[in-house]
Amino acid sequence: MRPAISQLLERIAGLAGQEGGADALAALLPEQAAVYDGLGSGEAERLRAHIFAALAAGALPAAALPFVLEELETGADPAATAAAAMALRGAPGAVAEAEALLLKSAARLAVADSPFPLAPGRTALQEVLATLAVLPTAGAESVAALGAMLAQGALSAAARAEAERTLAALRARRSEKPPCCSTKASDPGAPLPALEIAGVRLEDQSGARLAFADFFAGEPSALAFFYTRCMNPERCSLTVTKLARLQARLADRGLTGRARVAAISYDPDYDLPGRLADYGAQRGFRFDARNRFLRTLGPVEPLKAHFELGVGYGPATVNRHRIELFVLDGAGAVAASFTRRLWDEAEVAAALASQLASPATSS
Amino acid sequence: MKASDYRARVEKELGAEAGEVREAGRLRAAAITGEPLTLDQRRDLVRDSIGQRGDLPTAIPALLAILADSTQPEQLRTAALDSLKAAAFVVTAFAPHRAEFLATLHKVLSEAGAELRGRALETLAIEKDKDAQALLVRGLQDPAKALVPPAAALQYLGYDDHGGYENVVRDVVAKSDDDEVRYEGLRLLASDPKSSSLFERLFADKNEKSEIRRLGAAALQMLAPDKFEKAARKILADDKDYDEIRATALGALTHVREFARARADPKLVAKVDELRAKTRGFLRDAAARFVQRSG
Repeated sequence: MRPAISQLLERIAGLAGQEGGADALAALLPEQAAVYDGLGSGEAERLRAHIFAALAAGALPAAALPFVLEELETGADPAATAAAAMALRGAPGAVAEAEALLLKSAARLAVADSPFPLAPGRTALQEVLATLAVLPTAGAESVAALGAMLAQGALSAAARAEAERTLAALRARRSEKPPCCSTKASDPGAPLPALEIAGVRLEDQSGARLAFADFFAGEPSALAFFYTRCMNPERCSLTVTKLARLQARLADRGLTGRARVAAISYDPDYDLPGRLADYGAQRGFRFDARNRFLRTLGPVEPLKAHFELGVGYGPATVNRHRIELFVLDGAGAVAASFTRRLWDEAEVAAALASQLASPATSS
Repeated sequence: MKASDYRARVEKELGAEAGEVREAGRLRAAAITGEPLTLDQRRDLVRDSIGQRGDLPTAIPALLAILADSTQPEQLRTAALDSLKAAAFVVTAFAPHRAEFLATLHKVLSEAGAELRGRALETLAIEKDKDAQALLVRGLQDPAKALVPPAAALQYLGYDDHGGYENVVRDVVAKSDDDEVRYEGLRLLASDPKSSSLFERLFADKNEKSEIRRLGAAALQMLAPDKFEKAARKILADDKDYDEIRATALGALTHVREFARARADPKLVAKVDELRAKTRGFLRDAAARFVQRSG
């Protein structure tokens, strides 16, 4: 029997600031961690907010950083975003992308601010701004963005006061700002053998049935994961829109007809063929024999295990997932991974082009 | 005092100066709640306070003050909540007050009367507020602790289709003999693939209420089109089933994605022809639409 949410929260709080606690907390962040099994998405978000807040009690482990940055970039839950911002204050060294991501989350929260239950009396936006104030890499970009935010006059009195404090701190620091350094936070993409999933049965958006290897062998492919019921516009909806843009990029490079673009649903019981077709078409995806959306005909587990998918499930559907796109070589093995953070269509197109240029594929 | 006179007076007093919004709001709230006006007049003022977009910077703080004030009449606070919900549509004007609005709603849950508490709970549920959802679930599991009736609780939980309450809801539906409760619960389950067998059973059950069977048909068609088509054909072939349900089945079969398959089925086509010739009302109309679509 799974522990009650209150027990999980107690356990998380107990790890804060303890020796080895930060690593144990970081291990709870992947979506597929057992703590999220069977939770609704709201409870899963609540748990993550508590984990991030507990991480804020000490130095942020490197393993947790990609999750923090992901939350700031595309998180939809104000409390989880605020707690991620708190955790970022403990990042050892400067994180180059942090400033842009904090500003992005501040812009989101400026129109959707909420009380932050983990710091009574404060709001989510205040926590994000407070992190910006102490971020070593924050500078001119933040000063300009906060100035614009204040000029718009759309902040609450408390958020306004926080923004003014942040602005003052940034201005005071500008002359002594250290040189910026770069920390690229992305999951390493380990090549995986494709064979064990070659026989997984799939159905595409037109109802045609095929095995994994029928589609993903022979030419390199870009394979994204998504589901049509996703509530976060920065995740699945944007992923599919970007897949359509990727198709255009491939056409620009003259690669149409030489590489495949596909997306597989996390939610195969709900994402029936018609639903897949509509979802793709509404976002500009052009379907043909090389460009398909798919669902597994059985459980999604074999693919989840093979690609180490960052997805967790509640009683009826996905409760949380990361962004994930894989470039597969002509044998269907993973050649490159773009996970957790928003990916760039040009980079994916280049990775596909590189596969086509490699002797193994071109021979 | 007329609302328009009051408005003119407050505007004159305040001068609509920028930068003193909160103070202006406090004064406006004090005027609404402190004047010797009747409750109806005060409620009209509250309702009228967001009529113009330019009023919002002073009106929203005033409305929040009234909503938060437990000494004010519940009807006035409820009217303030309604006006705040309307003001929330003007996102830029409402953004500075959103966090306070949500915090105030939580406060209301702990002290207000049943009507206002229920409205606050619904508003928070629309925001997918986790604490509000927990209160709703608690009420469903233990009616003595319920803040709203079970049908309303199910409806409010349905605002979040990622809430993960399907197991609780399935249990409520199975145990309840209240049609309204069952209907709301089933609506919530209509996007849950694990409930497709339940909807298949309800659609086929002649002892069920027709609205429950029609809901079962719609849900089954969405969740499992193949199962739906099979069940619909069976119902259509059963002359002892109710015309209303058979018309629902035929209407849905007329609009399936794979209509070519239905049209090419001689048994189905023969049955539709028979229904068109021998029945009346909506069943005959449904048969005529099928034939029309068949070309």
